[in-house]
Amino acid sequence: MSTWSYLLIPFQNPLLIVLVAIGTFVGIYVAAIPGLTGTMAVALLVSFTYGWNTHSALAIMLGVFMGAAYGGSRSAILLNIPGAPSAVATAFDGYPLALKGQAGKAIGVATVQSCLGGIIGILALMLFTPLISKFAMNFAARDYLMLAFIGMMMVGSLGAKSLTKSLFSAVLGIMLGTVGMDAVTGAQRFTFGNAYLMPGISPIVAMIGLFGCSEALIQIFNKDEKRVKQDVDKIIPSFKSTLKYIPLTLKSSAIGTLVGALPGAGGSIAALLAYDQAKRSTKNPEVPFGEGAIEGLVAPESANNAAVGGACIPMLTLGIPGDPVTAIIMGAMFIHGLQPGPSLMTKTPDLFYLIVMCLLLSCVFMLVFGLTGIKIFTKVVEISTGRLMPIIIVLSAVGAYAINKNLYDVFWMVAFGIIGAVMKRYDYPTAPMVLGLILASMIEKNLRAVLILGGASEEGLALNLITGIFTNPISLILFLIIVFTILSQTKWYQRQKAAREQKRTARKAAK
Amino acid sequence: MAEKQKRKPGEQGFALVLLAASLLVLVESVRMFQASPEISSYGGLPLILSILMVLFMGKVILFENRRMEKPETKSPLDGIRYVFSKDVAVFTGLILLYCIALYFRLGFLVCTPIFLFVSMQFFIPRGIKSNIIYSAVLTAAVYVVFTLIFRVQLP
Repeated sequence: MSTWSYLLIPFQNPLLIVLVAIGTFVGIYVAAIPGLTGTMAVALLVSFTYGWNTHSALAIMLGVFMGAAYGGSRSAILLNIPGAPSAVATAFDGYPLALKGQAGKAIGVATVQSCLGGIIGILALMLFTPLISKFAMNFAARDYLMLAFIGMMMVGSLGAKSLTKSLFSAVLGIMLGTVGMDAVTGAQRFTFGNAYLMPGISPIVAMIGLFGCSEALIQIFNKDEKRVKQDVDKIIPSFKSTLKYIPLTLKSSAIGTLVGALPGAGGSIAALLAYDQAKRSTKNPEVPFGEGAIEGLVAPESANNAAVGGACIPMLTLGIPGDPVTAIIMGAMFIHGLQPGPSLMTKTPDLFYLIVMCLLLSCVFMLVFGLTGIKIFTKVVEISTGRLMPIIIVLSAVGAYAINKNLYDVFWMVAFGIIGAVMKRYDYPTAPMVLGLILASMIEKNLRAVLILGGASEEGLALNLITGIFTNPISLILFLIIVFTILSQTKWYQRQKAAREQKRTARKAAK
Repeated sequence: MAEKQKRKPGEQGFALVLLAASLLVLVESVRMFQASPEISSYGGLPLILSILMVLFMGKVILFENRRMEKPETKSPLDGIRYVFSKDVAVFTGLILLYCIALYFRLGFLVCTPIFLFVSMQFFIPRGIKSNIIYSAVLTAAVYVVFTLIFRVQLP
């Protein structure tokens, strides 16, 4: 079959198109409600779509993924409360625009830019995935081990308050992934004779607990937050104004794709970096940044949706998720018997192009739903946290039960929810924990391969590892990335960076 | 000079709990490793991970948390109150009761509207009528969507 025939798969089954549309709609509205996230919705969907065929399950999840990357912008613009972390930068200029009575214009720009950014990210996904997959075929076990390590480090170093706390969370996740019967020897680990723990901790149950239940508990602290709505007028932006910002759209989408493709990064970091870049590079904005600059909307909105395509690249080529949502989608792929990684393109190319097409369709639906339904939206965001949180718990309980029809899973989900809520209160991020839990088996498999291939003695192992790293360009690059990531966390590097920043500011002031 | 970051009530206590848990995991990992003393054995990875967990928590307790300004707490209970405020504690209790009710097979259609109503009533006491309507409609919606569309078995 050719690429085109693979791309047309969703059109041979109209149900897939309907599912993408439903997913996009749900994603937009879930992410628009402060406190609910796309990650939470996708985590719940994994269990609900467990019995579906793979294509249908992926179609709805990808729709939610793309829709949620955009949905947060609406509440950021109208309420000054970013509905999702990826919409934080959107609020900087979106809300000031709404205060000036231009909420409709802001929503229109955000929608169109999200659509354009999403499409650019998907084109990058289409272009680079086959190339990286071929390249990744040459990866050795040590390279995968280093990649997983880079993923953990990135999650820790980007966006979290403390690298140590993030790394602890990641290591705890891998540790939880080792619970149960060892795949090679059959020996029991940390089961303490409990039959429930023998098959291991279900990553889906953990995800629902950490992203669903814990979020519901955390949101209780914000239940009295006042939501001040703004009026919305004309939404659809003119073609001319869209064209005017195309260079910025392209630049921000490139940033979004690149950041999204970094293991562990994602839409929120992509949006903030693109905003910062736009602020630095836009010489004479019509309105200053922070006071309603259109450029301040174009950059984050195109970047956070471009990050969706970018995040799929490492997942589909290396089996390393780009962000928490792709980590969950990867978990769902495992459940459906698929193995995301370099062999995915050769073994199931239809699946890759289905993912591409579903994401593209989702961008189109995002445009349609984004430019309409403002009245429904204003009703939806009015639902108070006190009513929303109990329903999240019910959905989480149904989701946790649905996989194995085991009520113990519901208790485990609640336990993960409580642990996750306490961790979040004390700034221990939970996303690295989920990443660790999902990557645990891959890490152990590759660690064993490295150790067994390395030889019996410690000296032989160390020598083989060092020789392997310094004689293989892929291993060397990955090793250097690790060294740089560690170095970038040191005080020396931070001081150097601050000094450079100071010099740059002084030079600008002198000009 | 940069202002010292303030430690949250109970932050050091929670870190100590995590350290204690990490040490327990380390003890169990050592036991597994002793049974098959090879780094590629089933106890190898847990041993590496548990050592890392202890080291990371040690760093958090001794360096990161201690560098922060102490919180103004009067009793150790302030830490528990910071995490489990009255609302969170009551809601967590309701969640546990809901799970226990489901466990004793009282039925999804019985437990869910009661859980939804009691929770909503706790958060929004003035809206009895709308809470009843929301509870009934949401239970029916969840039942219809999940049994008919998703074909998921409900607890």
